[in-house]
Amino acid sequence: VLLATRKDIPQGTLDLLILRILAREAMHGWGIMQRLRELTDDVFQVTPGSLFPALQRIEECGWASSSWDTSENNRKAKYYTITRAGRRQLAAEQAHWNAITLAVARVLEGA
Amino acid sequence: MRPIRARLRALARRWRRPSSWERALDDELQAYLDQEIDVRIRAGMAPGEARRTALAEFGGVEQVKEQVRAIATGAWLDVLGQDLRYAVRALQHSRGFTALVMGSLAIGMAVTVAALAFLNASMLRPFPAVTSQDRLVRVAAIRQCGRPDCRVRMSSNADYEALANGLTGLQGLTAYTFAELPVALPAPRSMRGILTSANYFDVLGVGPSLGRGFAAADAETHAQVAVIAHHVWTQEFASDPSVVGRFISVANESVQIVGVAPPYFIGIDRIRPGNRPPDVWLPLWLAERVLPLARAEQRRQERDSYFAGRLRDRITAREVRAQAEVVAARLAASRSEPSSGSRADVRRVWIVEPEHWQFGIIIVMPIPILVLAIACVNAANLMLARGSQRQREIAIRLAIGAGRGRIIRQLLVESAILALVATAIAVPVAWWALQLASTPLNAPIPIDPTVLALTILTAAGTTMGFGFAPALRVSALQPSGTLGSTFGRQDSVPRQSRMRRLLVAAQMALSLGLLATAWQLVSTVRAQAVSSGTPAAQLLIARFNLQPLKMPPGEADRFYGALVESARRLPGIEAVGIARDTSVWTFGQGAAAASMLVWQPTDRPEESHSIIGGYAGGDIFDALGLRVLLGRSFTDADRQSRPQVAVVNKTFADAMTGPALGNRLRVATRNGNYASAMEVRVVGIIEPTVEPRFEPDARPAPKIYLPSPLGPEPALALYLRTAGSATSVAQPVRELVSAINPRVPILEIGSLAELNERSYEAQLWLARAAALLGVIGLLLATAGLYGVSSYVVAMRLRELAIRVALGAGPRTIVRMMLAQSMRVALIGLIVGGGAAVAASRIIQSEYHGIVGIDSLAFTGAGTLFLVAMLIASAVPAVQASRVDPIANLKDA
Repeated sequence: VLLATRKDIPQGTLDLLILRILAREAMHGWGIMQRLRELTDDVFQVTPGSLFPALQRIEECGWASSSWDTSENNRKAKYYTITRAGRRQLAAEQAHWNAITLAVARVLEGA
Repeated sequence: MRPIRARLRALARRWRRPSSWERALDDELQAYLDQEIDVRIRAGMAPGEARRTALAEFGGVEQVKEQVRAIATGAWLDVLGQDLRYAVRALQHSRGFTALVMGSLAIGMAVTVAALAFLNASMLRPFPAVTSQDRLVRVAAIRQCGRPDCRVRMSSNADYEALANGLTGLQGLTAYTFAELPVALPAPRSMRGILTSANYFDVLGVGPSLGRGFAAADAETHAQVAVIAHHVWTQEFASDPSVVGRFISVANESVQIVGVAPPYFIGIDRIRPGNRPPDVWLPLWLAERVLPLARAEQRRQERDSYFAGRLRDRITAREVRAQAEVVAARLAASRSEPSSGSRADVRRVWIVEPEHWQFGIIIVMPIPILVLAIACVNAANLMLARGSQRQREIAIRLAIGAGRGRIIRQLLVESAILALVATAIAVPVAWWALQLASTPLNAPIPIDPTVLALTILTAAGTTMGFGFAPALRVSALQPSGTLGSTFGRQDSVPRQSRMRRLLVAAQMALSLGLLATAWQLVSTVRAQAVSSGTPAAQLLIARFNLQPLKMPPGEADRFYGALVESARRLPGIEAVGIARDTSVWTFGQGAAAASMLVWQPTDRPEESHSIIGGYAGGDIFDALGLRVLLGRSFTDADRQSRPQVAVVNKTFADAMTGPALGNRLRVATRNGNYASAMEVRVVGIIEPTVEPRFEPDARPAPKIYLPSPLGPEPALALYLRTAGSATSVAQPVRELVSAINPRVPILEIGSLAELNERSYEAQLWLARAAALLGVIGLLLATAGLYGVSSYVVAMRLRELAIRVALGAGPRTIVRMMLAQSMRVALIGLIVGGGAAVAASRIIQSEYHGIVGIDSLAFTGAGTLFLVAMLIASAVPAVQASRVDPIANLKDA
């Protein structure tokens, strides 16, 4: 059976989704992966190969900070916390995204 | 785009603790995996199964790491660090290989660095100790004097003043002229002097190494001061610092030494071959006293001097030229002589004439580049050979996830390390060699930032040159094939061995071309030697110039007469003659000064021929060993007050219309005219002397000689034919001169062999350096062929063992191996020989200093080459014939 419904996720969109998840609470890599799967109903194919580079990028841009902590099942894990710059970025990206989807939706409806 | 500040912070973090970043990434990925495994175990999977599926879903820990590294700022630092560590380890594993490659490259680099420094010194900074040479310009205001082709540089004091004031684009304009000066230290010396305006040292930006230069105050008082050259200070004054303030006598004028010029300072004019560097600088206002006007100068009523100036900031030579045109037009118009116009010339001093560029680039540079190329090929070959030994290692790296790019980068890092270390060895070696070279070349050859920058470029090019092709080749492996069980010691990639053979053939072609070119260069320089019938080691030549001594007319004649008479009585002397300086040979000096105007009977007064010649006294033709071909030599009866007869050489005789003997010619000195010319009859024809073979039309120049009395000739040379070595007579002749007149300095003394060598000393030195490089190139190529041949033997051990086992005798094996190596050598011989012939044809057409294709050079180089190649391939071939089939087939 071909998993035709699983799509590669656009890079910028993945950053947006991760920031959205971190906006609710600080989270480690595995947790983010679980939330992504839940939220997108497995529509997007997110692999560690795309998740960890995205986290590296987000941290380097200063949108999230990281610290080592103990996870719920008593393991050491690297937690990412969204920063103020990250929230601003999230708001801006969200507004941008809304505007685009709205415009696209309008075009599609009008056609 | 990520903000710059965040990137910098990330970079700084990682720069400080690169290993902790790697560890954190490791931990984070491990934590992720552990979570996955935990979840699976909790769901009821067996731990082993949980681990396997988790890993499979994760998709390769190393690959994910590579992806994160690709994103992370500055991660290349870690990667580079990794590559470096790996490379150093790999190089340590094969010490012999590393030493060979580094040695090869170091030789190639050292040669190239030295050549770059040499070119830099001679092309871009030709004048030692002069600051910002690119801002200095030569200025000439030229007057057309009516007749076609008659141009005169205007160089009087008034012209200088007008130009100095009119050229506002210059920071300063200095005037100078050259002189040969008799100096008493008190020992008599003939010194090359430069007479300069007071601002000379300031305009050139030259700081004396001791004392001071000339000052404006000196000009006002017309102070009798001098600056001596550094070599005069060290040689004549034993580097005594108290020399400043001492008095010396220059042409009977007492002059105070006020400074010592910096080492190697020669002013802003190149020293022509055969000339000496300047010994002393005097102010121009002393010229009236120490330097009588030459006859041409007397006629024009002005001294020949040269102007040079320093451009102001942001002013171009073109702008100054426009100003100079205006001044020149005004000056030409103000002359009393008729003038048909004027022009001005302003050009930068360091723009060297095209023929010098050609010499530098066509003759000097290819040789070191060829050596470097040979060294690169050596290194590339070794890299390839090592690459095939490392196939397994590389296949494993490819199999566990390294991309081809990563492998290439890794191999290039290894090459870069090799090239860097080789360069680090090469620069001091080159520096040391240049220190040695600066003495014979009489110029400092510094390794300055320009040279270092070019060196780094060369090293980078070298890295690519020897590393890139092998890296491409080696990284193109198919891991499955290489790692399969059939992996053995054969040369598993046939294309690779073909490439190696091609490289060796190329290398041989290069080294043969190099050797032949170098050999040819040496013969070219040797061909500049002049000769006559007397062996060069048995002809002593002593040159004099009495003009600056301002002797009364009879005294010079008496001096020369006494000299010839008493020299005849010296022991071991067979014949003594005296002749106008440079009228026999010019030794690279202007022959124009030694030419006469000659009219044949059919010539009209304005149709004079300029022929080299002059008065010849004593038994000059006997001393030179020139046979009289027809007629007779001079007799005592000929030496009357006004010459009636002449002797010409065969070249001149052949050029005359009608029979030469008995022909009546009108002869005048260079500045004479038809009316004042004397009529002489040709009484003898002598053999011509042998001139430098490289001159455009290699025939000897036509020459004419008149019998003494020597008349107004102040600059003569004494020629002595000796029974034994001429050099041993030099000291008695020196003593003789100082006994006859202690004030007379000897300009130059030595056997013809020595003078020949002296006149092209620098070129000979360069040619010898080229020959040395040729030998180095051949050694490198020999080592290359030896390396590859032994490698081929090692690779083919199994095959050879089978052959021996099947009954091939040692002789068969040797013949087979030799045939293969020599086939490559033969290709190299043909290609290299062809290239060398083509190159020498090109050089010949571009630069006529080169003799034609020298068959001796080519056969000599070819033979040397074949012998070297035979040795290089014979040793491994003999080794191959001793293969033990049992030992080599057992473990197959």
